[in-house]
Amino acid sequence: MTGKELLEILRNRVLVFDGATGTSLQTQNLSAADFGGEHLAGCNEYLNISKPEAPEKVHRGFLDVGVDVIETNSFGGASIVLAEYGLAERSYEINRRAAEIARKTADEYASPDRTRYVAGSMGPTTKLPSLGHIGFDDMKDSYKVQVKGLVDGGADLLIVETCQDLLQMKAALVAIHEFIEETGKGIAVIVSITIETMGTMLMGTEIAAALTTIEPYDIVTVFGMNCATGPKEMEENIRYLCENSPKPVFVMPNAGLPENIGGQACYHLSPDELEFWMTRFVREFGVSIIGGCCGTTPDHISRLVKISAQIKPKERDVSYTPSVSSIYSNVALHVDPPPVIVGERCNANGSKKFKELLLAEEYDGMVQLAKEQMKEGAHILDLCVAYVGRDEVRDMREVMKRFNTQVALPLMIDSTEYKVIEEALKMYAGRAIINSINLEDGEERMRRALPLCKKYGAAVIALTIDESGMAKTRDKKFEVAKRIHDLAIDKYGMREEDLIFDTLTFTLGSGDEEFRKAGIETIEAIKMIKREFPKSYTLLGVSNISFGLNVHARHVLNSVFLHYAMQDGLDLAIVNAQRIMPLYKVDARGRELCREVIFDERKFESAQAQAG
Amino acid sequence: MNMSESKCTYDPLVELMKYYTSAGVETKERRSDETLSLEEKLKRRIVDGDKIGIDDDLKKAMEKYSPLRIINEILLEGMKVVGDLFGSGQMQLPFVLQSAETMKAAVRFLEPFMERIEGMEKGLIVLATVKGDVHDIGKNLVDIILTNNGYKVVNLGIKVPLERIIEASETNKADAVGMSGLLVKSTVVMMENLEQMNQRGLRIPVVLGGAALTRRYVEQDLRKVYSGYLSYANDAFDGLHFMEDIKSGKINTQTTKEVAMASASIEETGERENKLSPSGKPAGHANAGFHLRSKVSEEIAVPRVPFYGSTMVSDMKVEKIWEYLNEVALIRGQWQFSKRGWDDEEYNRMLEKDVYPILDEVKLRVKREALLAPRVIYGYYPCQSDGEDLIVYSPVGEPDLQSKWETLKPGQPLDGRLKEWVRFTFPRQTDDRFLCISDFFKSKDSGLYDVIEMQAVTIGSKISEYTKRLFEDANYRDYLFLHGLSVESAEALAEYWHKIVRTELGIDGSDAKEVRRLFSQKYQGARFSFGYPACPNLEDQVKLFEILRPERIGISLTEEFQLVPEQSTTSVVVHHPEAKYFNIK
Repeated sequence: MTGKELLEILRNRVLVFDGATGTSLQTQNLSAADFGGEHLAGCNEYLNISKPEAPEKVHRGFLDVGVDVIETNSFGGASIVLAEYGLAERSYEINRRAAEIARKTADEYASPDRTRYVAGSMGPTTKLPSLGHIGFDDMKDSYKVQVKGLVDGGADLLIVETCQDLLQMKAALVAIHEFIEETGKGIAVIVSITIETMGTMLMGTEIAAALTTIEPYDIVTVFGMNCATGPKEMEENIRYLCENSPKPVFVMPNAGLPENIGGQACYHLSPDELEFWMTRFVREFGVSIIGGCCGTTPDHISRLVKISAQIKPKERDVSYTPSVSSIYSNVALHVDPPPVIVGERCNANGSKKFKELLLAEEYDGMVQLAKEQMKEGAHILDLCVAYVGRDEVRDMREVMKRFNTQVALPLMIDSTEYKVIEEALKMYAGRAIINSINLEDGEERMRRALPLCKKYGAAVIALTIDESGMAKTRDKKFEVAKRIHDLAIDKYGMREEDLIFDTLTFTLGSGDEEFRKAGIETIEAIKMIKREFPKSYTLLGVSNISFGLNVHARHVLNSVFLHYAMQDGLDLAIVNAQRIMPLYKVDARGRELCREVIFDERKFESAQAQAG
Repeated sequence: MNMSESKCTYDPLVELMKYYTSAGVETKERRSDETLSLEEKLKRRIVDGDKIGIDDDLKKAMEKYSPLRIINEILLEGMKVVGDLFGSGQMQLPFVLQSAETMKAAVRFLEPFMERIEGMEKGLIVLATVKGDVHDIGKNLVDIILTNNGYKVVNLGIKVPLERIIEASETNKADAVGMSGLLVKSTVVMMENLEQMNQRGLRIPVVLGGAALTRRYVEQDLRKVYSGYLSYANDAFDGLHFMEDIKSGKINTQTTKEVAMASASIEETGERENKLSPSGKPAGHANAGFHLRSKVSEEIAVPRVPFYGSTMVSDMKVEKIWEYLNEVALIRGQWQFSKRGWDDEEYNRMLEKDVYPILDEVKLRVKREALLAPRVIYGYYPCQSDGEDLIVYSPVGEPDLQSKWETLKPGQPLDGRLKEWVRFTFPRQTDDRFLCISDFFKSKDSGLYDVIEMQAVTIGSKISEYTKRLFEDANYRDYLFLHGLSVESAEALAEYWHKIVRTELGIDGSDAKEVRRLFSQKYQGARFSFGYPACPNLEDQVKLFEILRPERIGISLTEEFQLVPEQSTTSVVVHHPEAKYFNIK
């Protein structure tokens, strides 16, 4: 089934997933022999080989009560997990068997007017890449084998479930992305994260940050949450998703919070209660897919089937604000009042301090510098570790390892090297911005960078530069922006809201006749872009406007220029937040002089004569 | 025009460079404050909360403007900046109050020069903490912010019955009414008030605020019962925005009825089967069969009882109590030094640099002026559960004389020596774990007697009177600091005494070593206070008073079951290891 087909089904009704696989297997009181020996006891996935009747019995239990979708017994089927039982090499076989068992059982129950679907289950594994437990590529490769096994065994769709770490989730998605690219097979994907009782994902991710990170992935059809808690504890987050997520919402709660009784996790939520909450989620919030996680039995799930038969999901009124995100929280690409401030000091080419820290490999100091910028009011941080003679890939790896979990602000990855960019994206759990693309070498940079954006869900900055250099006039700036816009969308599958245009500015400080109108042209170009591409964003490295002037004059001119650019639609500004002052703090004379400089209000003899 | 051909007579770039010569940078920075126009300077004084010497600036300003214009066009602009900074998280509450104090000082200076003060008022609101509730800090913050933004506030105080609110709003021709309250129960009172007002055909705009309220409850549930304009205030500045909206005509208070009705009807279609109860939770969900006992263990041994009956304690060291002070609740909650936007390190640095010195200073002031008079009355009582009821027993004969109680010796059999004395009925959860406080005690059927501890603690009334005076004198910052410390000191005393009770009962083995973890119940058992989620009925105070007679340490009960002095708490201590806070839906 493709994502489009899944959407089509969800248009008409609520889809019902099955209940717990793991806890249902437990109730079968399987012996070590059933698992294939003492050393494999507890490896549920190996049951697909050693005792296929066991997972089949679980499937039947749920199909008997009428579910639409059963999940394969492959939650821990990634080789990373199987390695703990010495079964890493058998991952493909185990996943394929899991899908085949589910397929066969589902087809038995299917009738011409009732399809039963098989969802290939992909759990979070036992490793957290954001904590350095495993490398991104190793994790992705492990998932890729699982994906292949599940699809070959007959899964209709894939569910990346119980996600604990956004980077783990991305590894799974990149595996699927590559699988689709390589095989050309379209398959619907559901992503489901786990919000712990403390209200965030295990790594501290807020629901809004998770949505921001997942939203750009067009291979993901449905997004939701499962496990950790009962439905009641999920209420606020489900409401958030239903109000904000452009993708249909999926919910699969546990049968309440587990209580530890004599060393056994016990789940107490009754079928009545589950029915009550899920009815609420469907009817009042508009949830599209419902199912049960740990502790839910066929008794529970039969109630969900009842809901699906009786209730249509509420039509959701979604408003999504495009954002970027760190592993913890998100930042919208437009704030009111503007601008979104991009801190510029974590840049080895722009900040002496950062360069010295990089040369001394003082990573903690770099983190500190990042935190200082946050305190100064930055919303997003530019990160550039390029320095002549150093290994940029290695430096990015070292810095990103720390920035990913230690810096709460979203990052803008600033590099001209695609290898560096991809390395950074592989280590970044949230949604990053790539800085940048342009048309200096024709389409080359776009051709290299935009597929990375698609693969890792990033936004991108586009500079108004083409083969003839930096655009100077408003018309030329707009023309370049339009060329990039059209190519990015039509050819590379980006969306308008993924693009952030930097209209660049030359300095007014040189006094060159050629650049006297640089400020006006830049501002006018911003206006044109915002008018023609209203969903896209604009950004400006403000301090270029004053290059060549003394420090204080720069400080003031930057502030005043930023003010006028914002008035005409500038969304983001790369600045040293500390060096920008609110306009009211600029003395009146200085402000007026800056305004005159920006709008080139020189006076001329002949003009006076004319006026006279 | 071809510029290169004509001679440039004025180049702003050259002027700019001259104006900011390198040499002049330093002086310019410093001078910038002095070169500020008088208007800007006054405005900045408000933003910075800088009232020292403001009179001189005001005098100068009066040479140019009327006092009224100074207030409306200069000072209030500054307050607007303060509001924006607060709203965007860039300014912490104590600094807002400093600005408000400055505003107040300025207005006080200007008042004698104004002919008619009424003219400056932009609108009038009647504020009240609703019947049955004594908590007024939030309402007073709204008062401060509104007053210092040019609105007239008629502050009716605490425990205000609806009649007085209506009367005050009519005699003062109020533009709006604000109701506040901290207790869960107050949200129900607000609903009743609104229903009443609606029945009487009142349509005056109403703003509601308070800890137990939620936006959802106000906007979805309460809007259904009141046809006038109704708004929720999350913080003091929301109250200001509410007044601004009303007075600016942005809110058409006439048409809101339709809006409210429309949203109500949408709700109804969604909620037809599950009518919301006042708490915003489904009421119809309490299906039959859900009223069974919870799964709480019935096998817990009764701890040793140190004595039966009650006893009083009054000589306690303030320092000892402050060992149990919840500094996080004080600094972030009461004082509102919010951590939003700060990382740990920066926040801690701020605490070290700015906040702890304040705490030390405030503590010193409390000690120097002997503002705290801590007293405790507490006791242990035999009890049994009977379904949702908890029966407290007394010795046969006269119950309330301590000498009688002394006939009961801990460790000796109680059978035949007790009679039922007071009976509490606690609500049971209708879902989740079906908990009920009574479940934590041995049942009547078990034939065993359990023990419950009850306590009433107070830090006296002196500090309440002191903080009230600070408020009246417009010392808003000090008011916030001292009021916050007084609230948390009463809590600390209750926490401290709970610790002693666990020690006496011999159940302190699992107490957390760090005091701060005690605040999240890292100990055996739980301490419940009436009016909170697990035992919401404030009326139960009457029963507790019958048992403990806290009048003996100067605590009394109002008709609305509130404690006087305000900084007092009563609670019951449950020893059962499974007892923790829970909610009744």
